[in-house]
Amino acid sequence: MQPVTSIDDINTLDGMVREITCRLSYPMGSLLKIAGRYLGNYSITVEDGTRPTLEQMSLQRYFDGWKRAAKVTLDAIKSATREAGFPVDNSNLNEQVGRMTVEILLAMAEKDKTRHFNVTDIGAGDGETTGAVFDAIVNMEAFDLMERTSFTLVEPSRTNLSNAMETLEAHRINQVYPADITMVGKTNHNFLGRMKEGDSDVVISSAVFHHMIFPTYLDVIRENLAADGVLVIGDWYTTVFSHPALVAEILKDLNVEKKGLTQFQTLFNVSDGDAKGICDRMDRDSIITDYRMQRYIIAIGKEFQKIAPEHRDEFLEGHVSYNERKEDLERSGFTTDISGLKDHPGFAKLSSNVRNVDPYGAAKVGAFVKSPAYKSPTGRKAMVS
Amino acid sequence: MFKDSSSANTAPFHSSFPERHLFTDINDILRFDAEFWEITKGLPVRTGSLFRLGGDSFNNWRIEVNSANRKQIQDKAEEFRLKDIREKENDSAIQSIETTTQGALLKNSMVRAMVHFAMQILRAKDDGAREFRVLDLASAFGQVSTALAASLYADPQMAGILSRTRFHLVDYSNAKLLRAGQKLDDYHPAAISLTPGNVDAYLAHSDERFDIVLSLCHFHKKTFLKDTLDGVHAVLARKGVLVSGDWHSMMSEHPLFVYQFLERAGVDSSRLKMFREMFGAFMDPTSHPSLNMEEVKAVSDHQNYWASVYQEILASPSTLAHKSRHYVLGAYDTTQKRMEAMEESRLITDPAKIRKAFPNMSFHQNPVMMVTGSDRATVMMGLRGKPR
Repeated sequence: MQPVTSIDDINTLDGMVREITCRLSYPMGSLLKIAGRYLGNYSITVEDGTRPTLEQMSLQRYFDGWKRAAKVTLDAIKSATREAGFPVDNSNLNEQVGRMTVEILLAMAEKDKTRHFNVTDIGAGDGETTGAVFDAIVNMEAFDLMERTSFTLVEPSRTNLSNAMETLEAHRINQVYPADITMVGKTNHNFLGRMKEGDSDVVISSAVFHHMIFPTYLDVIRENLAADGVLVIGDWYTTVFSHPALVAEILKDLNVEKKGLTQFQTLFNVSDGDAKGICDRMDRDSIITDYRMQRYIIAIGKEFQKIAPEHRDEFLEGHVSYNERKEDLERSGFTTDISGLKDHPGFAKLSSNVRNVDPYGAAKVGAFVKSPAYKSPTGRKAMVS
Repeated sequence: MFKDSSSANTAPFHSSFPERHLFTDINDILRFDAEFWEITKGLPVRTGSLFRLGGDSFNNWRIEVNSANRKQIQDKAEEFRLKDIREKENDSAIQSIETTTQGALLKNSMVRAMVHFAMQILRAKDDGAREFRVLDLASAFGQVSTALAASLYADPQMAGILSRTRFHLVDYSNAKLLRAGQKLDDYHPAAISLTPGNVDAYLAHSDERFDIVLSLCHFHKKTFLKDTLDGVHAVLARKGVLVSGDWHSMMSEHPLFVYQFLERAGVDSSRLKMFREMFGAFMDPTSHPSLNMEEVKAVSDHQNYWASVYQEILASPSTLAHKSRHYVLGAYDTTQKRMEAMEESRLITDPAKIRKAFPNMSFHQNPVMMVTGSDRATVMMGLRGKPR
């Protein structure tokens, strides 16, 4: 198939692909949920002129999915998580995000004893990531930090924000020092576009950025962090959606009809042996990680058979490998290696700025800092706001 | 919508006894319990059997525990517990319906506090070469053990300890144990052992000694908790520590609190009348021990939790049609009572004594009250004291 470039053609292709799996218990969903860097493998060429529109379309696709999700959806996913896939879940990612954030803040506070810190939680959800920061503050007896830190939670869902407020108001930290919390009910993109330079000393985000298919958000976060600001990311890293040949293997396991599978393979010019060829070029950890992600999707597919179709989610997401995320971070002006962070007060006591929560690297927490020498290309912020 | 249970033709069994009569014979208790079931039979949320209660609260529910019936009550309680486990294994909707967002987040926070304690203990006891043994009681899918392994793995200074730590998990469910074992195995600890079956039976017969015993949301299911805590004491090594996180409330302690829940849930008056007929003489507000503000709030939180589960089931036709069974009663206690029970079993809870045993250990308090202003959830440590 010839690469498609125009928004109309991309929409047409996307519609065809969605139609193929729409009757599965766990449909594939939109190609516009896949990381932008992989879209070329799906015959989609992203041009500078179309990127902002594709980004908006992608966000809308994600929001549509989240609107469909009910308690039964989340319960089915939790059940599948327990039965298959990875040994840890988002709560374990949050724990490490909390711990690393407090370690960095403590070190920065020790260096500058009067500084007030603004911590922004992007895609705060039910407030568990900020709650994990509070847990770490209590566990590490870092109560002085509470007097010097304000927390801003950014979350588009009002239900989630309400849950977050209830959770954080009841948190045990308030027995010692009342938390200074601001809730912002905006989309991450909308909020990021309105942040002012230096607004945040630390931006934290857990299991969120794999829903952002273009890395433009990193440019905006960078611009709006303080000069020595830190970005702490907890996220999932796989390459299972990087190529249609790998997705075809998932479709087989989800028992897609033969006709649909052939149509999918023909559209993207892939055949049965291609997945093996791709795996042959991957390292051991990536193979294990992608395999587990595949098992996890199949397990969710089985659970979704028990719930009404209108509450079923779709499986494509904007996962990338950790090395690809690192490339994006560096391109957006972040220092990613601990060797370059040793002069930063927050990292003085850390032997590593990246921690594996999953032993094969599927879940990692990393802390990154603005590179002082970086010059931002003009116009990149506009893509987000 | 539900069966009206008030239309019995014959006089109820309990009415032939004085209203303050305490039942002691196991057959009488069984008949009394069967009548008690009838009150909430067919409702989406039921009280469940009186055998779910904690040993200390039986008197408030017209049952006297004595040396003759103690074992029989314990066996019956175990029978109900097994039945619950089988029901939950066969019907995943039970767990889903009973799990609220706030509850799940609070449980995750409890796990983080437990992992912090466990890591501090391991660090304090480590000499760079020794092996550690960790026992996870009623481990289910291994949430705490896996979180501990993941945290040790992620911490560059603690990763060496992980390779010297042996995990032993005990749970009724083979399937859950296997999955927990798979998850732990990813982190390559020194060893993993899995024992299917009853926690108390394991504690009574184990000749292993552990540095840390973990227990998450399990002790409130123990009718005679002291037996379990004595068993924990027996398997702890010198300077071994029990790290436990659990739900607390006095709701099941007294009929009045359960009655209030039924009222709050909107249960019909005929059922409330049956309840009053069985326990009216025991529902005098002055007859139960005074509670502090946090304990009162925990009862209220517990009642509200079940009332919201009840209302949510009624509001969802598909959930209602599913007819999952949910039982309210349990062997819940207060944090204060739990601490006393631990001390009675020679598990030291005094933070000063724990700090003396582990001078380098960093922790804010013991116990850790997880919710501001409420005694609903607590994480606590109990250091093995000298045997009497």
